Amino acid sequence: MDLALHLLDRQVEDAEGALVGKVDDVELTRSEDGSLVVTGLLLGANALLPRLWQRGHELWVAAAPQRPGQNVPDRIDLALVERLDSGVRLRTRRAGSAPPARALDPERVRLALLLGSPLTYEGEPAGRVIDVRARPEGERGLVLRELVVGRGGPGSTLGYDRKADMGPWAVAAVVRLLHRGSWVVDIGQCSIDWTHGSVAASGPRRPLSQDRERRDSRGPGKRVQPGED
Amino acid sequence: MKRFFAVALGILTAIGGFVDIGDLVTNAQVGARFGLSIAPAVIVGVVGICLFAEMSGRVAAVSGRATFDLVRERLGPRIGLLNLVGSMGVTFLTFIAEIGGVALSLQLVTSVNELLWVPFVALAVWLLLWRAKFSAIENVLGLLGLSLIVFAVALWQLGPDWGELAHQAVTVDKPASESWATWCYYAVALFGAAMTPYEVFFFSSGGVEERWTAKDLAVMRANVFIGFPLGGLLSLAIAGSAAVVLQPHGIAVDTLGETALPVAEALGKIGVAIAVLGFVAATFGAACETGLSVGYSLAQYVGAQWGKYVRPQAAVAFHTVLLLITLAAAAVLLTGVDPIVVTEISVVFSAVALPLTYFPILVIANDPDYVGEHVNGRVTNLLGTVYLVLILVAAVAAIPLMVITGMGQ
Amino acid sequence: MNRRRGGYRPGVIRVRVAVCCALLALTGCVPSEPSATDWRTSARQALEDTASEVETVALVLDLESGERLPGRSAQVAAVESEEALGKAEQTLSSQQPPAGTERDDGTVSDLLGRAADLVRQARIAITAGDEGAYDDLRARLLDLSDDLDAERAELR
Repeated sequence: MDLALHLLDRQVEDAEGALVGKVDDVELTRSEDGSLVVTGLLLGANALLPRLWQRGHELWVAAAPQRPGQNVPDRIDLALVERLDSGVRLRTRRAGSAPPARALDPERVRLALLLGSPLTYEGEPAGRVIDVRARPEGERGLVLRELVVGRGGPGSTLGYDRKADMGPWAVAAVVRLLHRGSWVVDIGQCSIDWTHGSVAASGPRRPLSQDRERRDSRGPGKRVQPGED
Repeated sequence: MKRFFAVALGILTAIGGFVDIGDLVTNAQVGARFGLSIAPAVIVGVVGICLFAEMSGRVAAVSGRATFDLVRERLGPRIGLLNLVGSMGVTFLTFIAEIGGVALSLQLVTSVNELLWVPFVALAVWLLLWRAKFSAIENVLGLLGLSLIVFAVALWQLGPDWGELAHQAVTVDKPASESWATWCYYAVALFGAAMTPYEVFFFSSGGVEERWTAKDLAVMRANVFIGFPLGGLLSLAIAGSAAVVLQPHGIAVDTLGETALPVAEALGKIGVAIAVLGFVAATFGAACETGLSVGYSLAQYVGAQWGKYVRPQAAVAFHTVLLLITLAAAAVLLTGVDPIVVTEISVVFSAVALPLTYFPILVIANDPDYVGEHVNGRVTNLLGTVYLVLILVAAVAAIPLMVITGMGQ
Repeated sequence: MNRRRGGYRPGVIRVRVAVCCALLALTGCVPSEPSATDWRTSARQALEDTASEVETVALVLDLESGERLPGRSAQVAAVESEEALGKAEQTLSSQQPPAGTERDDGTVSDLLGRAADLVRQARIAITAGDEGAYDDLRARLLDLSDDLDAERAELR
């Protein structure tokens, strides 16, 4: 599952179909073995504004008087999510699903900090993180496995990297052209600097276009049950 | 039998709801100055809106999601925000123009000043948006809007030289006294009036409001492919009647009254009364649609509950936005600005905002994650790509043309 | 971040802003002085707009005498035309006719004045329902329209 493409900015609905909000950011937790796991969805202006304009948000936060929990986004624990198809469906009803988050834990980080970070490959600048791939792995949950790197902003492949023959032809051709230099690397080979928002990668990598040819048209848009294979 | 009536209702509502103040004014202005030589722009625009409305209707029916909802998902929050600001701005301008249009239409028959009507019209619009059922608004106002067929009747009655009219359209027979730059400006304006962004957002959000499913695809396509072109014919009838009656006298259209003069000549008092009924219904309906569209766009960007398919208490933010924009629109109109001028500006800026709207629709309608097996066929994609290029050209050319021609002088 | 951005002292900026404001204020008070070609273009535009309104009122008179306009729409139309005429006249008269165009300016002003007068009479006649005057007014309006078109062609 491509997090930027298939999870971020998706509509969250409650158990009855009422609309809750959009997935403005995703909460990741570092587990004991060093891997990153998706643990929650973050909603609200406090989650979205840093993605729109990081510097502006920092100034805003610095300018206002500080109360505890004021600039912390609303959080929905991943356990409350029943399924992910073209939107996110929760198990519960709207009223009880988005309490304010706890103060940000150093073990918890935000996907927005990772997406769009500049990346160096074996010392040389090599583009930005444009997407993050995660896989549901049974007990451990939705674990981040690979980084997609290239030019352009997060999600700018518009999904054309996944399906070989998605039309229209002209748009697909333009996207392929823009991303001909994009590549995928295993997250284990990367060291992520969360404070400065940069990533250093090394080791084997593969071009993005290879994935398009390998995968069939079954997309992760079909139901993904977090916590199951 | 019931099914037949449902389909017929949909088609009739689509015809009656197609024309709004932008189409009314721009077509009449162009008909009076250029005859039918800019008719090709209308036809191209109508084909375009049919194409993209079908796509967004299909997305709404199969995925249960409205178009603007998906813009942020596909293009990211930054571009989504740009899109939001652009289309909200243009749609809000159109909203102001529509409310002004209702007030002008009412002034036409009662000779009570337009400014006095504005508060009442704004109040009526807000009450309908808050209280009335979605389908009731659509059906009643759409059917009343069918009164505009009187323009087609008037054109027939005037007995023009049809060959001459057709010749003007086909050979793009521009009057010698007008420059090509002005011709292009008005072509872009008509294109923008036919393909206004709010129509697509409204159509798809309306589909979600009415709980379309894949079974409704055939009905939706009938509405789009029969209803919209016939609505486009109404636009051409307005242009044609202005061409036949006003152009020979060199009368330029800048009030709503002048738009109705051809009907007066052809059909007399009754005709004008029906035409004004059509004006009121079309502009009132469009006012509701544009108001709702602004609310839909904002709520769908943020992810908040929107729509009239839930009780107002469940969508408080949505209804608050509707109230605020109605107040703001009334305030703007009460400054005395001419709604016709607002209309002209909104139509040009609609042309500028088109790419932001239509590019995401084209991408989304191709994505099996949203539309399953109902992805675009090759022909649709080819046409869609051609239109994307046309839209880009129009969007880029709109502002320079506006400046060069001084808004069409 | 201690370096001052820009490099201008605030006092200098204030003086420049004040000078700009003064210049703008002065240019607002003085009528704009266009070139001869610009003036002719504006005059032609004013003549065209006026001719359109004159023809509109003529058409309205025609329709009204044929009882083809409901309610008070004829009155509304006449009032709107009168206002539009007034605006066209005002826009042109706010411009200073440049040297060499005085004769044309005289003719144009004369024509615009006649138009305003006739349209006002028409508006009064329509409001009063004085149907006997319609035909005569219409004929005079159509003649005036021809004169306006002729002057427009001359100014080319």
